[in-house]
Amino acid sequence: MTDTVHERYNQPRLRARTFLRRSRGDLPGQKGTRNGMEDQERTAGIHGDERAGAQAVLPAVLGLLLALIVSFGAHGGYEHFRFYAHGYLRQQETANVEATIKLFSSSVAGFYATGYTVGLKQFPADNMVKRRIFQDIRNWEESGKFFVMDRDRIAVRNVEFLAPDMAVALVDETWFSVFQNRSTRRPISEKQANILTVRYYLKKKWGRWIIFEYEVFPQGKPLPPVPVDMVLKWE
Amino acid sequence: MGIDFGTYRRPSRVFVLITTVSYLAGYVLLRYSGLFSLPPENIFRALHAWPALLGAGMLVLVGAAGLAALRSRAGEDPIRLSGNLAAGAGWLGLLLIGAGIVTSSFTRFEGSVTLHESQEAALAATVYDAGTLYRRRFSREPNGGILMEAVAPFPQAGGPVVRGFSAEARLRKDPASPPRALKIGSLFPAMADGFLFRIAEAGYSPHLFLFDLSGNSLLDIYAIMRLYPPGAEDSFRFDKIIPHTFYLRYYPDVSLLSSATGTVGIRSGPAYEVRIVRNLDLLADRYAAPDELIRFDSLFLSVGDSRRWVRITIVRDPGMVLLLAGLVLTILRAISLGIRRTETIRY
Repeated sequence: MTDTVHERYNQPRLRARTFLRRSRGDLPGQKGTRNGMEDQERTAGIHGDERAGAQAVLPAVLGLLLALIVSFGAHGGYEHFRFYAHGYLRQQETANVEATIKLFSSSVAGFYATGYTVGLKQFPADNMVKRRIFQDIRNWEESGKFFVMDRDRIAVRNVEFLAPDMAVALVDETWFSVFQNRSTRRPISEKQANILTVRYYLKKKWGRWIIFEYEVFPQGKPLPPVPVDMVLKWE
Repeated sequence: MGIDFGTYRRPSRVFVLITTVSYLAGYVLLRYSGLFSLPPENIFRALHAWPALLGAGMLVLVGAAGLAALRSRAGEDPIRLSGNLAAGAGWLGLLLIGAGIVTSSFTRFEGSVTLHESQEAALAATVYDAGTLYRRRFSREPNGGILMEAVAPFPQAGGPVVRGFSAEARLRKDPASPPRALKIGSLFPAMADGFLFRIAEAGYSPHLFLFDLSGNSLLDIYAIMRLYPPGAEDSFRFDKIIPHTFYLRYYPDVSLLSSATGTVGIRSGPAYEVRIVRNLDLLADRYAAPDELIRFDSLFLSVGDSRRWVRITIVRDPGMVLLLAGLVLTILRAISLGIRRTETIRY
């Protein structure tokens, strides 16, 4: 082995290159005599690599630390991290989301039953959702009917936070609906049960949760995945 | 294996370089981790944030300093020429990466436009899908119009699974100029006028009709819906007209769907699964053949044929060229260093 290395070292091109590296300080084996220096140099080279590797750790760690500090401070990083790190914050918001959904469905039932807009200010819904509900109520009013929806059961199955200010809630609901004559309020249709699973999309605006979209499924049907990429773009 | 802190008193270029690279990589990874913010849509959105731009600026400085040091040493020793060239390529690569990120942050344009077959659209700001338009201070926008001629799926060899889509479009810069044919693939984007066109998504666009009880047509549209792959569900509304929500699933071949056979009047060919909801009231949930009338309240819905649609992402980013060139040079330098290290150990 030594002979082979010795022979190789004696080749002019390699000798020149090794000399060059040693003069540049690339090779740590700069001590020792020329004869038999190769082994020493080889061993020192390996240790030099280890040392260089260890020395590269410090700037790498420093860079990562800087990245961590900057991420923590920029783009509301602290609030975001705090929300996911603390279970009690999520529990608190989960309770708020549940209360919002209950207020939403009781308000909907009230609007349909009375046709009045009392409580509209507290109604936790986006303008488009409100518009659809009142458009429906007005349509039935114009045809001389009341469409009465009674909420029988509501059970929040799951609340998931896509962001600290965005939540998706899965709720099992049972509603009974009946048409009534607008002037006499007598039922003019059979009572119908609607057993549903509703997926609510909520957003926190001005410190309160509002429902800005929902999807309705018959209970027991497999649900399609939440279109997260689209939901996050909803304004 | 201990760290010799004495050597770090005056940070060398390599020290600054490693710090900068790990800072930049760490920042981008942390953005994608979702720990401190929502993950960015693509890597460029992360790189255009001010913390990444700081890192990019540092890369430019380090690269420039490396090149300057080489230049001052040039001519000292002719035997070093090849080594200097390789090192120079490395420093230049880093400089280009940094410059590419900074340039991109000033010039990138990105937007997605969804078109179904035979649909034409003028490339104005209003035509881009909501939330997809991304313009920087000096970005150049495409002008003219685009006509989507055909969208075709290309199946996996020997199977029915679709591997991707290809779209044939015509791009017209202005009404007077001749249209330019574009063939855009899911795998291979097309380039025209400095803009990159690539398919981001594809799906089926069903033909929807709304009739009243007397048979008068109230609406006749092709709705762009995410109905791909078969069985995927999407919804649409005729906002401001009726308060209903229509949920659809599309099956190109009903014979492959065991739950539908018997409920649809046809044994083969396409079928739809339709669910109609009025606020919190479920009105219909059934399978329907094309052109079948589905009654709800005092209206009829009918779903006819379906066309295909594609969402095309249009990107123009001069910074990307610099970035790619820089990456190539840096990778070449890393390979050359790897070879040199192997040779050193071999001695």
